[in-house]
Amino acid sequence: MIRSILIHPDPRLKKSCDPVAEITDDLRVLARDMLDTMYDAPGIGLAAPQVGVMRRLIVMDCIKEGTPRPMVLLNPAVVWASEDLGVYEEGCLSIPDQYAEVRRPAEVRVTWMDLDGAMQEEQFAGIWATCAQHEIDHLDGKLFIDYLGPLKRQMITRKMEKLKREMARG
Amino acid sequence: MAVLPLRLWPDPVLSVVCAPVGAADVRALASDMLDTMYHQYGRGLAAPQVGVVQTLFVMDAAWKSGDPAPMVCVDPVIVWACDTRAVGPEGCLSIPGVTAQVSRAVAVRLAWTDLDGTAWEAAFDGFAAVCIQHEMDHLRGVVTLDHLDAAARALAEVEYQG
Repeated sequence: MIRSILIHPDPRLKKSCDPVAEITDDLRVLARDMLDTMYDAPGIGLAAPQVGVMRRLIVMDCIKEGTPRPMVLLNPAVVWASEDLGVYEEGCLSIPDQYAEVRRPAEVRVTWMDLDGAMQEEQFAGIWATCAQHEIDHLDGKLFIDYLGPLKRQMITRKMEKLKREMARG
Repeated sequence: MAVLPLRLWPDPVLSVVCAPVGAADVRALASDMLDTMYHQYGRGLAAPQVGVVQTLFVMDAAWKSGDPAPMVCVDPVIVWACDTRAVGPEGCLSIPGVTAQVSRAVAVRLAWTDLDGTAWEAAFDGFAAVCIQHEMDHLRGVVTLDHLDAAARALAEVEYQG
């Protein structure tokens, strides 16, 4: 089921999320819905607070062509980050049609729990590294525009406020 | 100060991978965890053992034989483990009455953050190295029983339930 995505500015996108303490059926449904919502958008990553659920859960799939790799990460943590930085033009499903360059560690090692409760660990590079960091930031109430200068950030926020007013008018 | 109730195996909270603490304030929790650890006469306690699924543990490896030296490790990571391993008996406050033989690296290097947000890194051996690996296991949902082969585990579970 496709869920609706919160649009910035929204207080739920500024809050820190609670850890997942137990893998329940509701959580499994949420993960599947989030993947559906992400592919439908289309996007390469989605964090639970973007659909209004304040839990530490993200989904991602950065494969553009070829076999999809839908990933569900519970309680993800960056346990190592490279000193080398990389730049990507980032966007966000909660900030539609706005893109800006963000500098982040080029490679990160991430641990998480999968839906079977098993611990997973993987080193990500390239777009996967950027996507993982971008989504984990969401779990701490941080958006990619928080890395931009205040003027650029305010400009984007004002555009989003306008977009939301237009959406409200239908 | 408060002694917190312990979560006992097989409470599901002991089987989940914990989430990072990050910038959250865990001073009160850490203080309560130390109280709980000393009260239970333990030398280490991980957050999930008091029902909090965050990567945080407290330890005082030497207090039973010397002055207390409480350590609070927030978002700890083992950055190096010695190839040499040793098998030794381990108990766990969450599995009272059960001692399991567990193989551990004899020395590890741990990186962690303290309650002031300062990053630390240090090497540990002896009991502290074992204790750190035991607590780190808790943060990824692993208990001593998970290290046993099927037969030894079955025996330990019978002992626990008995």
